[in-house]
Amino acid sequence: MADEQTRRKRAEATRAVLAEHGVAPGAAEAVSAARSALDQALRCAPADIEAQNRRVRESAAQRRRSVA
Amino acid sequence: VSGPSGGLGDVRLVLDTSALLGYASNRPGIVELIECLDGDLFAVPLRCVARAIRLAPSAAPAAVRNVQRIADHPACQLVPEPSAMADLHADYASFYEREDLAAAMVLAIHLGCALGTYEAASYAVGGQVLNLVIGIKDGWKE
Repeated sequence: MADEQTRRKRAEATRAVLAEHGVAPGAAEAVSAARSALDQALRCAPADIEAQNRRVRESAAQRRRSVA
Repeated sequence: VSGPSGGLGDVRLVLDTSALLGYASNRPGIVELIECLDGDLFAVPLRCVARAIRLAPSAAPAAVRNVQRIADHPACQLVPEPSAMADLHADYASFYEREDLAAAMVLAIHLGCALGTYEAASYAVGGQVLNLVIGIKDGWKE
């Protein structure tokens, strides 16, 4: 992971780019809600991802068999 | 891979075609999601950039410029499909019948991060959308 200084510089650069393009910073409440959504997404269970991958693989294999 | 200094280990979010188009039109939801990264990075599959440029209204060159602008974003990493995930990508592309959706999902899985999109329902498998998918809202509320 990047060190604190690098992260701070990136965050400042992000704000500068948004301001440069006339984008107002998000309201604190909205940014906080977006952060909650991000945190929740980052906690997605690996078992759920594996189960989805398995389902997609099986579906694709079935499709290939039906074409062959 | 192009972008600012920092490896893909700093990536916490993948953005798909719909998110790029939202960014291009300055929709508030996507801006707030990028802001909350607090200096971490987001990744964009090259395939999604290509599709977003194709979908941007041809009558509005500014929209195309805005999609291209994402590459210059200080927190952005442009990423080709990871070769280690080629088989999984092919299976997802076959399932979704869209290469860009497959690219975004497989990259998020590969990097172990979230996926931001305005079309969350398109990522459903068996009627379920994985928790890693964030449906971007124009009006975020707790």
